[in-house]
Amino acid sequence: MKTHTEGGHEVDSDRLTVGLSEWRVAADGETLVSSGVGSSVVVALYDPRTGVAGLVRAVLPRQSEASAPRSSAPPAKYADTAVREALEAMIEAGASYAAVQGWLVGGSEMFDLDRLSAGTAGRTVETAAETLDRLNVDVVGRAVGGDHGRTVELDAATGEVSLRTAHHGTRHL
Amino acid sequence: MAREGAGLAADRLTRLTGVDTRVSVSRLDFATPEDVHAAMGAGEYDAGIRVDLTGGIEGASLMLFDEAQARSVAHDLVVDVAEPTDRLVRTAVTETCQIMNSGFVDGWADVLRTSVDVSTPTYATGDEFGELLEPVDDRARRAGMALLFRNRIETADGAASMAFEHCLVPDMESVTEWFAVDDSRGIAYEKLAGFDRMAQQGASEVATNLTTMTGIEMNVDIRRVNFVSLDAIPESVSTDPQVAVAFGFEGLPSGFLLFLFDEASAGRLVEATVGESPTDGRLSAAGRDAVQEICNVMASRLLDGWANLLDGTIDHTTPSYCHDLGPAVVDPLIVGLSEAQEFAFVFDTRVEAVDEAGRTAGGRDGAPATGDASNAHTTNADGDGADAEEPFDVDIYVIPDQGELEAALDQLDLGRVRETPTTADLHIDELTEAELADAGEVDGGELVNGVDGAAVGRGDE
Repeated sequence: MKTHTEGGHEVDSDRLTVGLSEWRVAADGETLVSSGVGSSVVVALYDPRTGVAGLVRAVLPRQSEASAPRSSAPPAKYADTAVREALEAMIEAGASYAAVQGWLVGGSEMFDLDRLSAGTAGRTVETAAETLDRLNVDVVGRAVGGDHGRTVELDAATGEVSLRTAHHGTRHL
Repeated sequence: MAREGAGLAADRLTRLTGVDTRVSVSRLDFATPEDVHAAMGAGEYDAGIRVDLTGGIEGASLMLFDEAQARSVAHDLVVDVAEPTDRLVRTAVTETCQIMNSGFVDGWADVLRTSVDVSTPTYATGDEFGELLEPVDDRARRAGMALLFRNRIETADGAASMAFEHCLVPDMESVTEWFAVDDSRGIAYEKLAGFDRMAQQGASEVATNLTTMTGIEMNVDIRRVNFVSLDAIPESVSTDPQVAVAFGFEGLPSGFLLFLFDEASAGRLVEATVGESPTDGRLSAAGRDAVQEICNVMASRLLDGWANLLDGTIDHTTPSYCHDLGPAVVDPLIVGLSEAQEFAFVFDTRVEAVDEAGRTAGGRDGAPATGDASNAHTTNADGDGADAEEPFDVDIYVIPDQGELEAALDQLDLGRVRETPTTADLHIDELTEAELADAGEVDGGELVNGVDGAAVGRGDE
């Protein structure tokens, strides 16, 4: 098993971390992990035939809706562009387009604060769902909304999506 | 800016090695010479390269790394050679670092719209490593500050990872010039330094308030102002469940204020105030109210201090409570700010319990607190109320709106910042009745015992 150090701790490099405004693809049986997903939205993608997996963590709904177009903002920040990019990368890695399945996770409203523009999380979930629909990717599971965070893991070896929460245990989606 | 540099470095590494790379953490701290010294001496790194900079940025740039990690990246470079010699690997490492360093420096030069000349790199490891660091240390001491980058570049398949510390130590004149650019988006460096100091004062005040309210002696570990990609903030937060209290604030500047307690600390805070222990890490309704009330008082004090120095008013919302996975707690605030900005000047600090010898207790894995709450209210003056071995800390994040922060800094009167003492001397019995009433309104009822008790119990000073 491959290992490397991260922040002084030895970690299993078969686990690939996906941060905010990022997507990653795994084709060698690694596990894609995104920790503590709150209002942001994770889209898990998997082709059961080839075992190619992708995990997207988007922060905002659409690039075209960005208040001031910012060249520095990565396309992976937006649900629509991130999902497209990840899917393309999966196909490049050998995934069969027609076989890819999708899962939606996140979009929680954790705090009741006026300054947090209400509905951004919900719109990001909707945009992700619409984008998957347009790309003909079936959504086979979802865990969205609510008021709690979720750590998402997608095991490329099995295609299993699991969710870990602080107070509601761990479950498979 | 930090990510711009790091991203460019990752791109170059990708082109050089043909392996996809990603920058997983990229942050920039405004650091003291002591911070630089500590970063160099942390023992995590055993090799480095140094280059001298001239032109638009005058100073030195130092990249520190683990030689073994660097070698594994270097092996990707010389993969065509069956048995690469030490010298070849070393050349490859130097080249790699030099290219990454140039990526950073070019990123900064782009931001500052200038050009920078970079000297031939000096590579050192083993016995020579100390000699490599010394001139940078000296330079940081003379300049009184440095910019400290913390970065990790890893290959996209996670196989080869190289974490490195990058210290850019510019000469003071150089820095003053950068921040004095005639640009409406620019921030005067001295104002930023003033803001840093202002933030430290706020943190000291928070520590004092917390001591007064809980009877636990506190110390402040200032992490200073740092300029960071919003997306990178959750990576600095523990993935364990945290008790969080968030506020929105409006004024000049507006933004979010977040208090984060690990479960043991939240438990200890509740014990010290309402005298009950949490069950399975979860707080009762009274416990949650107590934590919110204490945070409400701390938020008022912190933001009022800022408003005074900025000669304005900053209002904050009522507290919002959440007990969840650390990154998940920060995530909604990032989403909230991301519509308008990519980066933020984040002020984060840690307030820690100190033991009787005056050391911070440190560690986050201690047993749950078992102290007698009734003692805590009256023995804070000499520190007897603090259980030395019990960890207690709170992380405080202030994330202001970028544009408004710049406007606010324009109004910052540096004279007032200098005149204000760094050690706060405000105590809970000096809080106005209105402030205490505000705190009491959190649960729409009476003040809980802890806050009330602390207020009464301070007659001995």
